[in-house]
Amino acid sequence: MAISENKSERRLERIDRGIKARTDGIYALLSWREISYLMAPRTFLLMGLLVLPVFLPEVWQRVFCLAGIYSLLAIAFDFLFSYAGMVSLGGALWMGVGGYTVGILGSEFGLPPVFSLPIGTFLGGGICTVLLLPTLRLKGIYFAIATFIYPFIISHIIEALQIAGGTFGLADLPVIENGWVVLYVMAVLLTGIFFGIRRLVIEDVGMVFRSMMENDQAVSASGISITVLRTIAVYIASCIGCLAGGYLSVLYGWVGMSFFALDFSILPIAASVIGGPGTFAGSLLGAFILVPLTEFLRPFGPMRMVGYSVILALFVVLKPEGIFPYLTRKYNQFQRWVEV
Amino acid sequence: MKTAMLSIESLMVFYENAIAVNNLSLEAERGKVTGIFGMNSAGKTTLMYTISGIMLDFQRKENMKGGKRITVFGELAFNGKKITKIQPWKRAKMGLVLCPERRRLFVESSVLENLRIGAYVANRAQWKETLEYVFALFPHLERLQKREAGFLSGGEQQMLAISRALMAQPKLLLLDEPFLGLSIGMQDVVIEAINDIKKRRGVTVVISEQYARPLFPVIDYGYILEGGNIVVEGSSEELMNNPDVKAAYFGV
Amino acid sequence: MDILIYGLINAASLILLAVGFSLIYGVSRVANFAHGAVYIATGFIAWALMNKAGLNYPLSIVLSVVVSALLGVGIYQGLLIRVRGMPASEIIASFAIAMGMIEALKVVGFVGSYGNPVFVRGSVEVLGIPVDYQRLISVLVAFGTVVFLYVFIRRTKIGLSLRGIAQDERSSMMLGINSDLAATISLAIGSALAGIAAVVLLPLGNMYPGIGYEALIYAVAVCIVGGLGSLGGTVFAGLMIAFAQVITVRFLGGQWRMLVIFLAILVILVFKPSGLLGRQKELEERV
Repeated sequence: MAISENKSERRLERIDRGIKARTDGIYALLSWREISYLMAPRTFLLMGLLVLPVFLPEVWQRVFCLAGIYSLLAIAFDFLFSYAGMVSLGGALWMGVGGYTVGILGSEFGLPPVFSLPIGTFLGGGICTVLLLPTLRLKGIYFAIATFIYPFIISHIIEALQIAGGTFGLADLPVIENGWVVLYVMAVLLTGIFFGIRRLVIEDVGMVFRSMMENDQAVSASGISITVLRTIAVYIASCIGCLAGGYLSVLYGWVGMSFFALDFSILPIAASVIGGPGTFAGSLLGAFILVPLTEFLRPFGPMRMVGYSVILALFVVLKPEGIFPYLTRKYNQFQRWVEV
Repeated sequence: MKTAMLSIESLMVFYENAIAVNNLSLEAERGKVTGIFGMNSAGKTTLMYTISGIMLDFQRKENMKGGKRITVFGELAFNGKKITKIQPWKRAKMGLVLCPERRRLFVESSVLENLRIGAYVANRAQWKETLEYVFALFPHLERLQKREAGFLSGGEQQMLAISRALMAQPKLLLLDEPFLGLSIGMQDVVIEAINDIKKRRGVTVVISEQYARPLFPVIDYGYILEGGNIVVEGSSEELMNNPDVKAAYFGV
Repeated sequence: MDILIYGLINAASLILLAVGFSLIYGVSRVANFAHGAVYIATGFIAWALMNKAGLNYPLSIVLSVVVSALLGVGIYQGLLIRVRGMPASEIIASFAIAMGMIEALKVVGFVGSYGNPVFVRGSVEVLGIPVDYQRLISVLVAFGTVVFLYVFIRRTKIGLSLRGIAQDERSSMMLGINSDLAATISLAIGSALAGIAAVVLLPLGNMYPGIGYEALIYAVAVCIVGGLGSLGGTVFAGLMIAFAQVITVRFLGGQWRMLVIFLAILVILVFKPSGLLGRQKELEERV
């Protein structure tokens, strides 16, 4: 190559920002600079979840709770999608089962939310898991369609048989009176589940989940039962989803057919995809972008949904990798041009 | 550009910060068989993908995901024409056809349909003529016409892969690891075929392989790759007499 | 007897809805969730061409089918080409565009009841049951479409290249097939099929934008039951679902109609996960 051409022969190199000592899970803290470098994103998130709600006006506190619900669904979806290899469109199923379980516990047995919410979460998770058991050996888009169909079936059964309040749903459920408690239950739960599930997927069991996703035959050849693993994964995700459903019924004091609506299946996936699947923070970020966006677009009237879909499509097309992985890359790596 | 059908000048390929092909230049003479030998990770497959242009598609997909980035430097010329930025399907139409590693057949289609898809760029007369040639080359395939490609044995799959590549009317045929998983007997069949393709059809052939020994008699010129670099090059006899090559490939 | 006739007619409309979706998925492995939106949009475009632009009916039908093909090209070139190979992103992107199109139709003012006229008025008695000419036409068109697609995919060069792309995109590129062009063509044809379905089927009832979602659900259901990307499976599943639907309505009543369909899908998925005639990717490569 001629010398004159050498200048154009450059390559953008990406290098990880150095952290001097890092062991598994524990950071050897060397300097304030590195501590703050590591802790800044986490602090930012915690502040956002726990402190921000105080300064929000009342309308937006509601939006915060809704965004929290969608975040939970998105996290559940992301967990199944990125760590167990199952594409689940079951958001509506979880919402409905969770909502109705908490609702029935409240209306039939008169339990206050303090008891009905946790019982409904674990019971509802169990019900969803049992329902999904026959579909566990399905893969890819087939599992997606199976989970997609369940909400339709259940809501049709409720409608046809007029059970559990029928078309009108169950109203006047016991609610939490204090608005701040409602708000902070969501904030604390969301924080706990977010960090908990991030920890779970780097533990041993998370590793097995991931290997199951990549090659299930190899996992079963190692003497691990895939069915049991899938059941566990579905149960974890279902519990998170049912918690979201139960929380919504406590928030509204009402549960009805609209808990099985398509929105609860589609929007969390959209949130996860634009945020970046595989990083639970991406799901959180996506939900906290999309849900307030619908509120923000409300004044535009009928144009609202059009604008919403255009923005959604733009996100997906312009940043196919997801917003959060992009931000992580910018934060963790720097780029420079090197000559070759 | 002289008689070289394919010439590569200071090619470099990076996967993120790892270098796969390092400042490599080589030429393939018209009507000759050129061999590229090397261990795993020598950069053979990367080189083949770069020549055939599939690397451009990899690049596009990776850039889309924003993840690993692949960078390619250097010049590729085919028949004296620069093809560095030309899309793979256009290269195939120009006569630069790759028979990929691990064959990558259309497993759900029958043998005949595989050949039909292979003949996408050919016209009717060419299709008929090549089909006859291919069945003469591998008489075994003719009996398997209706079988699905996924149900063929490894050797049959390799025969089909070479036939499919021939259907695309190559002027330069790239064979990436044609011996992968083949028995000695099957290797001989493939070597026969390569000889025949070169002599009867006048197709230039570039082969990359780990098992160099059975190929040395066939090739006209060979390169030995290591860590993305050419370490030895020469004609078939020169290579066979080179002490380093002898030690590495003949176990002497 | 009437079950047989109504079942066939119902099957024809389901198959018409599903073949386009099936073709696109079979070729480009893109689940085009905008299929239903293209379907309903074509219906309204035909209506607008006739009532606003003042064209005559046959001309506006032909034009609207052309527009639907162009919509398919636009969806691929503008949107899907940038997210190829990422299934979740593809689904979200195409679903977003579907939602955008359907909601835009509402914004433009197509709410309430609109309807395109039938091609030929009147009905004929088939085996003692009166059948509209339009329904008869829909059966014929469905049959014609399936035959056309079969021949197109097996016999023409473009069809063959599409089969290649569906199985191994990079292998096809090495053989000189332009994969983007092939995928664009498949979207154009698939969307044109949605358009044809629209002009044939929509005159049978009222038109409203929400039909877009229903059409999508039907198309997906038929394709899943039949096995994605398999033409024979699509036809078979269309027939099966249609008859199940007609029999259910007859013996159990209308409110059970959707439920039985969904249950049927679930049962089939559980016992034959790849769909009735779909092929599982069980063929491992041999080294």
